[in-house]
Formats: sequence, C-alpha cells, structure tokens
Amino acid sequence: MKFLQLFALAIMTSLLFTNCVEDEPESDIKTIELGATLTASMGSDLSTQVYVNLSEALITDVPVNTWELAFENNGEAIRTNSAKKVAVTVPSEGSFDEVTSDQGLVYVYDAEDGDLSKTALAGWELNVPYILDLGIDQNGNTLGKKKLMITAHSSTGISIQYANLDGSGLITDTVVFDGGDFTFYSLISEQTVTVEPANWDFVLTGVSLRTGAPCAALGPGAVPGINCDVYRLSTTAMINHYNGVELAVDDPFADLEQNDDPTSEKNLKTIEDSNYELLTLNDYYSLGSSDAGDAIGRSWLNILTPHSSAIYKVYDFITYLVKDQDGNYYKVRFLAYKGGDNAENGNPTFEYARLEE
Amino acid sequence: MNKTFIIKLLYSLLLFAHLAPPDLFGQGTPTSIKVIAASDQLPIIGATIQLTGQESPKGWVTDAAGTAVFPLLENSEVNINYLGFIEVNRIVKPGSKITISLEEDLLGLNEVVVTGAFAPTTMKNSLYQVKKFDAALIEARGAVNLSDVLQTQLNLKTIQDDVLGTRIVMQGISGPNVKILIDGIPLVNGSGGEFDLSQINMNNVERVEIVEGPLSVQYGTNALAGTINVITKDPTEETLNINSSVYYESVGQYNADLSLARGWKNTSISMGGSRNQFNGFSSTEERKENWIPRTQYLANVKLKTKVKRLNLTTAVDKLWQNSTSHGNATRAFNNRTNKISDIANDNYNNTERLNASLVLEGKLSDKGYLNLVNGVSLFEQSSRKYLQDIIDDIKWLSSDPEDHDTTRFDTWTFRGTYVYGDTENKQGIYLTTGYEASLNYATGGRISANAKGNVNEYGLFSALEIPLSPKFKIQPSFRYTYSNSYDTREIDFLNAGLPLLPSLNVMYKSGENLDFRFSYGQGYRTPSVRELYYEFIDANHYIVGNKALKPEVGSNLNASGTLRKDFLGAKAAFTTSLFFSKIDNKIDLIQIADREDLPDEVPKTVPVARVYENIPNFKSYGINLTAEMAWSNGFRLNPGLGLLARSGSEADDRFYNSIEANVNASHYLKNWDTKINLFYKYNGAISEFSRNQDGSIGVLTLDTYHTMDLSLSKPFLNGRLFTTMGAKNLFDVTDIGLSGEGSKGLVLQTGREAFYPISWGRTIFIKINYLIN
Repeated sequence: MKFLQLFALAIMTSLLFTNCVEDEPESDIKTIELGATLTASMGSDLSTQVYVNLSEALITDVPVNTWELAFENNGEAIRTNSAKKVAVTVPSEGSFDEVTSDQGLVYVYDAEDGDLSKTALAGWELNVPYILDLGIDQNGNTLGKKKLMITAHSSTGISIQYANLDGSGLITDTVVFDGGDFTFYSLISEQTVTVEPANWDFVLTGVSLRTGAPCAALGPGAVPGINCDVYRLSTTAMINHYNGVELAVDDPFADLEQNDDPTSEKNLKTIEDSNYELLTLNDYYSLGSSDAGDAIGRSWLNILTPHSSAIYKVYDFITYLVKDQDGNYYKVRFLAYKGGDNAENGNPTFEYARLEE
Repeated sequence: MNKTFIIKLLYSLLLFAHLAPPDLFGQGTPTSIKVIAASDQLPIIGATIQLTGQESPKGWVTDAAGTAVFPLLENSEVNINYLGFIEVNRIVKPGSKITISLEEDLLGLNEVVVTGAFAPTTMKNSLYQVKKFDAALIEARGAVNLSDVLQTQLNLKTIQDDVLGTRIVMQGISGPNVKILIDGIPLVNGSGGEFDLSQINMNNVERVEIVEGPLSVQYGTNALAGTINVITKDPTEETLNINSSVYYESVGQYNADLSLARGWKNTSISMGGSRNQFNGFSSTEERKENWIPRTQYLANVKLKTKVKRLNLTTAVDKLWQNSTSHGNATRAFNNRTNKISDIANDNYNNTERLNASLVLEGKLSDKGYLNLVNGVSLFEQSSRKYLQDIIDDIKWLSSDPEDHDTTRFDTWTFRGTYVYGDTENKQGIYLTTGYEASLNYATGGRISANAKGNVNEYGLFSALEIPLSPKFKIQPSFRYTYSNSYDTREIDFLNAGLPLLPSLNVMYKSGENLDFRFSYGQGYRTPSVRELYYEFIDANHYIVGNKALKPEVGSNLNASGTLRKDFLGAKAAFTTSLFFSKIDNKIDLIQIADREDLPDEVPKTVPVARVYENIPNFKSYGINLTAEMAWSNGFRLNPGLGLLARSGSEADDRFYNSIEANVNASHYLKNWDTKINLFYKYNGAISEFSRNQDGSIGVLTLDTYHTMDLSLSKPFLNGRLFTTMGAKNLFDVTDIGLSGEGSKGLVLQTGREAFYPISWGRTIFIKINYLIN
C-alpha cells in the first residue's frame, strides 16, 4: 500500500520535474526504478554534479561549470562552487576601484564538510571588495578572476557588483532569491541559474581539497599553488543536511586505517564482509546519526598507488544508513567507481534499499 | 632524342661490360695444384683456383683428392680460396705440380662485409671496424629475432617496452639514432619512432653486421650512433632445398617456418614463411603483461638473377603481427549486464610491415663497381580499444573515437653508388660517387592534420680512398644534403653554413697482424615525420610533435687497434677501441613542465604530457677491450670489457659511467659432433638523466644484472636434421629495479613501475631444423 502511494508520488513528481525541465535546459533528469542499482555519471573529469533523491528514485545531472556563487535564501550564507575550484581572497585595498591585483594573496575555499559558517565568503561584509577565482573548466583551463563586492542584502535579494581585476567589464546586478534553499549565480553568464532540484538527499560532486603542506608551514620558501596550498579536485558525496538528511555509518572495519596502499588490510576487504543484508532500522538508531554535510564524504573511495594508474578502491563493505528528506530510511552502499559505456572512472554506482523495521 | 641517347649509353655500357677477354685457356701446359688443410693435412674438396688480374677470370675447382689440373701458358698468379680458410695468392709455373696448404680462417678475416664500405670487402680490409654475427651464432643463440641476437653484446642494450616492443640503445644512444637496414635498405621505424627489433625475424638471415659510429655519408639520416645491417641468405646451390624448422621456448613461444630455395646457373629463387607465437609473460602475475602476447606471420620471396656481369635482386618481405596489450581488470559496473564486474581495457594491435627492394649490383668493368639500391619500407599499425568484462567474458569496442587509431609510415629509398678503382687487386685509388633520395610519409590518426605531406631528403656523396703507402690508407668523404622539411645549412660544416657532412677514415697496417683504424665523422638526423607531426591525444596522453625542431648534428671520433697473434695456442685477435661522440640539438621527448601551456581542449590533469624538443647537447665516450681466441681443437673464447660514460646539457656536464663485460665461448666436441655455446654478460648499473621541472637534474638508475645462456647444437642424419637446445637466462632475471628521482629513463616511454622488465626469466628452448635437398 505504502509502496503504491510512494510509486504514485514518484510518478507525479517526475512529471512535475519533466515540466520544469523545459525551463532548465541544463539539467538532465532520469527516472529510475526504486531500489535499483544507480550509476551517477559525473564523468572522469568530474564535470557533472549528480543529485540523488532516494525516495523518488531520481538522479539529476547538473554541469559543474554553470555557477560560482550560491546565496542562502533564508539566511546570509554564501557558498562558492568548490566543485570547480572557485576560491576567494580578500585584497588589502579598501575600495572596489583600487583592487587591481591578487598578487601575494592566499585564496581560501569552502570547507569540505559544507558547513555554511566555514565557506570561503563566511563573515562577508557589505561594501568590502573580494577577489573571486572563477575556477576551472572541465579541461582544467582557468576561467579568470573577478573582483566582487556585495552592496546590499535583504530577505528577498542581494545586490552585487563585479568586474575584471583591471576594472573592465563592470556589472552590477540585483539577485532576487528564488523559491529554493539557495539562489545560484554565474558571474560568467551574469545571471541566476537553476542548479539544485527541489528534493534531493545527497549529491555526488567534486570538491577542492588541499594536497600537500599548507603554505604557512613552509615559511618564506612557500609558493602558493606550486609547493604548498595545491588544491585538487576529489570526488565526494554531500548529504542534504540543510533539509534534515541525516546519516549513520556501518563500517565493519572502522578501526582500520584507510590509505592508498593497495596491500593494506582495509583495501583487501571485500563486499563479502558487508553487513548490508542484515542492517535494519534499529541499526540506524544504535549506530547514531550525523548531520555533517560530508557524513558520507570521501569515506567510500580511495585512490591506490601508483596514483598515475588511477585505480580506486571502493569500500563496498561500508553501508550508509540514510534518513532522507522525506523522512524515509534507506541503506546505501557504493559498488564501483568505474562504469558507463567505457567503464571509466567518475561513474559511481551504488545500490540502496529501504531499511526495514 | 633524349631517350635514344640514354639507350645508346646503356647499350655501350652493356657492350663494355661484355667485352670478352682473350682466350688464354684453349691451349697451355697442364698444371696441377693440390690443396690441403694446414691443420690436418687432409685434402680440401671444392676449393677454387682462379687466375688473378683477369677481366673475366676463369676458375677451377679441386676434386675429391683436393687436386685441380688446368692448362697454363705462362707464369701466372693464382688465387686459391675456400670458404672458412684464409685465401692464398701464389705465382705458378706452367707444368708444375704443387701442394698448397690453407690455414683455417678462425678469426673470420676473409669474410665478406658490406656495411660501411662502398663496395664489398673483407673484415680485414674494411676501413670500418665491423662486428659480425653469423648464422652459426644466430643458431647457437636460439635467436628468434634481432633482439635475441644483440643481447649479451657489448655496447648494445635492448630495451623492452610493453607497447612499443624491443628497442635498441647503442653506445648509450637510443634507437632513432641507430640505422637499421636489411640488405642495405633502410627500414621505417614503427609507431614509437624507434624500430621494434622483435619484428625482424632471423630465419632467413645469413649474418648481421654492425658498425658503431656515424655512417651518415653512406646512409644519410639516423646513422649517427651506428648502423645495423641484416644480410639475408642467398641460395647458391643448384638444387632444390626445402628447409623447415620448429622452435619451442618454455615461456610460451612456438615458432615454425618453412622455406624453399632453388638455384640455377645464373638465377636463384627462395621463398619462405613463418609463424611465431608468443603467449605473453607477466612477471607480476598481473593481467597486464610486460611482455605482451603476439602472433607474427612472415613471408618472403627473393629472386636473384645475373644481368650480364651484374646481379639483379628483388626481394619482398612481409610481416603481419597481432598483439594484444591487456590491462588490469578493476571493479566496475557493467552497464550491459547491469552487474558489478571486473573490467579491463584491452588494446588489440594489428601491425603490418612490408619491405621490398630492387638491387642491381656488381662490376661493370674491371675497375667499375655499381650498386643501385631501390627500396620501400612500409609500417602500418592499427589499434582498437576494447572493454573486457573478465567475469562474464564479454567484450565491446570503446565508444570513444580517441581510443582507436590507424597510422602508417612509409620510407622510400633510392641510392646509387659507383666505385671506380682496381677492385680486383684491391690496390690503387678508389673513387666513389653516389646519390640517395629518401622519401618519408606518414598518415593516420596519430599524425597531425596539419602535417606537411612528405619529409624528403636528397643527398650526393663522394669518397676517395687513397693508399698513401702499402700500409697506409686514408679515405676522406663528403655528403651534400638537401631536405624539403628543414634547412640543411644547420649542419653548418666548417661553421660556414654548408650543408656538407664530412668523414675521414684512416687505416694503418703495421704488418699482417697489427691494424689501426681511425675515423672521424659527422652524422646527422633529420627530425622524423613523427617528431614533427605526431599527435597522440586521449584521456591519458598528450604527446605531440614539434614543427620547429632542428636536425641533430653529431660528431664522432673512433680509434681502434687490432693485434693478431698466437696466444696460449690459439689464433687470437685483441682489439681496443675508443670513441667520443657529441650530438648537438638532440631530439628528445620532454615532459611539459607547465601544464598551463597545454591547449584549452586538453585536460590539465592529463597524466602524460610530452613534446619533442631539441636539447642542447649530449656527449658520450667509451672504451672497449675485446679479444677473440680460437683454438684448432674447436674451442673459442671471446671476452670483452666496456666502459661507457654519458653526459650532456641535461646532466650539467656531469658524466655518468657504466661498465659492461661479456664472455661468449663455444667448444666443438669432434667425437660427439656437438657444439656447446655459452653467452654471458655483466650489465653494470646505468643511469639516465634529465632535467626536472625546477631545473635540477633527475637521475634514474637501472641496477646491475647478469645474463647467461647455454646451448648445445648437434646435427643428425648426415646434417639434414640440426638441433639446438639450451637454456636462456640461467640467472632467472626478470625485472630489474630502478632507483632515483628521474622523470625519464631509457625505459620509461610508457612505463610506470619502479622496475624495468629485462627478461621473462629462465627458460629452456629447443630448435629443430630439417633440410631436404
């Protein structure tokens, strides 16, 4: 009975989405049977973010290089698009016009866990100039830098101005908040864009992560981006904690170190060691849930040495127990990182099922 | 009008060639010569006796008693020779009865060599220090292909690459600078820009000749580090010979071949075919093999005929090779079966090679030797990438067009040489003039769409061999070159911007048993079509050519001395050779340091990003000490020691040394009619250096290793059945460690591991050869 209702709901919602699609040509929405094994086609270059709605069995593909900033509609937080290495730095000049260069400045990125109080623009102030690195395209080409200033903010919108560092291409725009959680904005196409679907539980996306030493540790020899503060894209899964998604983890080998050595103990464990079949709703409560954005994060995947071979270990024995946005409970496990027509990386495949009482 | 002139010219040339000598032999006094072997005093059957200094010398052959009787008019000089013995010239009186004993040519001094020399000569008389590996050695080694022959030789290294095959390093300089010829015809390199030695089969090979140092005057581009000339067999007997052989090696090699040869008075024809199967080998037991499985089919036809005094040879060789480079399977979701499975990327490669030649060669007159060589060498490789589900055993073609490719390389060569001089008596001045045209072309997916059609090169060369005294010969020579793809004035002879390549050879014979050879030569190498226009761009590679490349110009000094003397009861030859070479503007595949320099459409994270560049210079010097000792009881011992030092701008002029030593030994057991052969080589650690992105020097060192092969060969059934069996790689060497921080190695065109595959470990092999005639 409940299943039928859910099914009907799923059909209706998908129709709803199909209607929306005509307004959102950049989103690609697929309907897949509930409980099936799904593949999220991010591409080996991580150029697509894939939103997953478990109870409606939907995955939504969004090209990464469509937005740089996301304004919180019911708050003051501003996220940057860490999936394409968007970053922020604060110039020393006090006025927008005086800013001409980012030389010597250190860029910061949104925190990996999606905490809105730790974004690159956390604590932003009105009429203070910032410099925004627009990140990279899917081939890694840099997209340039803009200086940016927020000139007004209200519960219905935000006014911004931005320009190239040499002062050319000045744009002033007032962004009217939309009906979702965040209003997404592109400084490249100079307009708001639709990114997140209305209902999603987790998103598979790239995230900018520092590899190697922080520049502060190196002292005067530090060259940001060369020998320290080198940021690379990694694959992560972020839960929709903003809308109450929570998650518990069953890792039979939680005490073993997770590393890139193909012969380490954890990397030799297989799906045979999984508790997936046995887990019930009670386990969700007994394991204890978290609402951290990166509660799944990168814990399901690790690159193995030699890194140049691009072989990843998927921890298929870890089960994620999810309370979704609609209050339904599921168990999810990742099965493979390679998939698609040519069995390439960047195609995470996972299976999930309802958590029974 | 022009045509009639040419016909007249040709006719007069032919007439000139046909001039009959006066008939000296219709009458005269019967004269008898008996030929015996010095070692056992037994008669030699079939030795030839020829009058010297005749335009068309008539000859006689000794009978079962070792005797030949012939009429003679006056005191004449005769030449007595028999294969494998040192020839003798003697003045004979009419009516005399003499016995001549021939010494066995244990050191091969009278064996004919053709590489380097403009006209065929002997090892002893060649201005070049020619290294020679004959059919017996090929047999004893159980050698399947050229790479097997060259292993355990000094100054040579073979490098295994899972994709590109077996490459060569000579005098510390890698493949593109080594000219590879079959019967003097240059072979086109393969996809990797270097020749894959495993694609030259040894079945039909008479011998392999090697000259180290540049032979650019003779052979043009690429002959900078050295030249390897593979000489194929000529059927000589006037019978039908059918020869078949099978070869098995325990690593999983199964070869079989069949050849037919028939000779007539002035014509011979031979044809053959073989199938070689290698099942692949992986030292790590991974699915990805460092020695990829392959099957080769080979076919060859050779037709040789006499046109007046000239030999006309047509030969065609064809190779088909299927190889599969397997990938390691990793966990993946198969969207065809909707199952999690293990999926690998497998590349299926089809390679075809065609070498064809038309050679007209021989004496036009007593004093004129002509050699016209026309050849074509084609190489085509296609690769297709498949996804292989190894659990459900299904495979499908990759949907990415970048994963598939067919690329073809052609080289056409036209070379003509005319030598004027007293070639019969090997004295006096020799003047050589010649031309060469080399036309190169490439097409296919891995060649830039912007590639200019051809890289063509034209050369005119001339050499003058001058005997300053009976002991002392010098030969200055020059080549003028013109290319359609770069300015040959960059060769910059005498700093005068001249497109001239010089070389100078000097030979001093201090008596019969002490020779010195000295050579100075400039060599050059044109940027190849691949180096100019290569374009290999896919998800993992960005390897591109560079249209702005300059030619490599090298100079090389070589000095050697050979002393022949009896030593510990053996006929022995001791050779010391020294070389120094320098190559300016050496072309190398360089890592692209700043990924921001890549074009926008190329992912900046592409694992391999390389471009061809000129590096300012590369230097090397070396010294080799070798001895060749042969005892009359059938024991032979060839020890050698070599030091190689390499440096250059990529090493901040610091020299990196490596040491090699080898011993080849064989013993013929008369009572058993069996030959035992041993091949040993010590390969000292060798370092490869390159400049890192930050300007520092990275050095990658390949550890020391030893290789040893042992074999026995024995004929049965009156020599019709010949077997060789033995063990290869007795020390069971597989992978040798690489240490250091270098970004590139001799070894690392595609490599990734911290080791380098030297061999597939200890194996046993057997080869059975059956001859019907």
